[in-house]
Amino acid sequence: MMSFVYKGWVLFFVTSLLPLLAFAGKKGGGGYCKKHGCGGGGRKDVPEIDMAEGLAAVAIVIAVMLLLREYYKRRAVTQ
Amino acid sequence: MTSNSESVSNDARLNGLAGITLLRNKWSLAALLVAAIVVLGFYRQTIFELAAPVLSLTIVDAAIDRLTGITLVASAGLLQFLGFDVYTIPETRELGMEDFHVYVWGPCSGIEGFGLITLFLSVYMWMFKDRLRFPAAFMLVPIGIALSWCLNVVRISTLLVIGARVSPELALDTFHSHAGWLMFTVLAVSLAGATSAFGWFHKTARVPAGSNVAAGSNQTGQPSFFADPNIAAILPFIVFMASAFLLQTFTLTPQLYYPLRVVAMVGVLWLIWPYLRTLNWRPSMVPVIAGLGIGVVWVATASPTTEEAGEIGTMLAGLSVFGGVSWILARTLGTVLLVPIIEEIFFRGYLLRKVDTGSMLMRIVAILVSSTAFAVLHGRWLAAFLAGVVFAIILLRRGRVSDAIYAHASANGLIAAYAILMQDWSVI
Repeated sequence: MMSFVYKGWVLFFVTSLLPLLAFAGKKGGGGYCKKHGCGGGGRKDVPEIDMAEGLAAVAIVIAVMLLLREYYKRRAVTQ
Repeated sequence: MTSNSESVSNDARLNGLAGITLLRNKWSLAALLVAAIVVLGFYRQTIFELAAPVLSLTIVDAAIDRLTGITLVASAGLLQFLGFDVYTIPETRELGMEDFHVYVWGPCSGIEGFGLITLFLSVYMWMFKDRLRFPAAFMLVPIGIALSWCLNVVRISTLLVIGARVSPELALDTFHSHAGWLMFTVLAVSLAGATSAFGWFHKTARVPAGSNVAAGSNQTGQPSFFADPNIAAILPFIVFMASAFLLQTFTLTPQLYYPLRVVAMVGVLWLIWPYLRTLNWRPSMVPVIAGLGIGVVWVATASPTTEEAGEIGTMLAGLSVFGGVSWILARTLGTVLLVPIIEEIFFRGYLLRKVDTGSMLMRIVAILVSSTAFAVLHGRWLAAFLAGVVFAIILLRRGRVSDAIYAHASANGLIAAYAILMQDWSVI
């Protein structure tokens, strides 16, 4: 029963996530701010969302998850 | 009916298949998932174009347009609640304060944050599926999306305050392009931390089956928190990355503040000193020679001076002699000593060893995974990937992470010497 619920949710995530990514792809990135001039009186040289920074953010989040994982393992051993 | 021996034999055959072995290793799966996320991020425009014919875009466009309008009103409301005098022009989606204004359009609605946080929570729930309580944990998704939107409102409000009261350049040239990632990081880390604080989301802690920490150790034999090799490998990397992240978000010249990163790195390495003391630091010539070779290749294949290098030169020219010398010393200390320790104990000492389960196939996968992760965080992907492969081989040669550190430090030492002598900071 639990496995069925779990698989159902995974299916739901996969089916709902792809369109969400697609919409995000349409609405964000791709030089949007350069085309439209997002700020400061319509400046068109505003830097876009930084993908390198994005990779750094993802790296930090993954590292924190790994740290949590190792922390839980340690705590489980000491309990 | 299958006997036990037949079953074992079948399992062995399955395990022998390279593809199955690869897919059964959760670290490989995690690496594949991260790679898929990166690819999706880069090709999202193409994905949209492919998906467009089968999606009802009119409804979605209207929904995002409505969400953008609500975000504009909420940002203005938050600022007014805090006592700021702001104005809005709903027709043009303009939000302003004093002489500074911004346009809150589609990308500012927070839709990308929804996608990112949903992706993160999917990975998080998969990684911690043994610990989280399902289906209660699925509630994290709507909570995460709601908080993501709230933080987006805070981001837009902060952008306006910085632009009007601090510096329009800081707001538009720095904060605007970095704050979204900062908010995502803060939210993801907070959600992960909060789930352990609320019993509703997680099960009672128990010893996980096959835990490699538990193997061969007991309560009295377990190293202290900061001497734990896994903790000691990950914690400095987080501090190292987060310090760069914060400086890039909140300063116009993050390079100028590099000494602050040095302080942070020294601090965290001091914390894990009990672990560093346990490493075998006896040097060897092979890592040093390999590192110098990498340094030569890195310098020889560097592209001509970049804009950033020019900015560093201008910045140094504006400092006093003492300030300039201090900055160069701090930069050299960080590049030659601190960064090699932090990166090697994380990428090779932790990541490579986690993926490497002993077989030849998994050893190759481990080298590729750790080198790819190392490469994507460096500007020059190919050169960094090859350097990562060499550092990995150096570690595997004698099984010593200190060898990889010596190789990395030698490479960076040569690169730093070139940068100082030639005044070409683009190579670092």
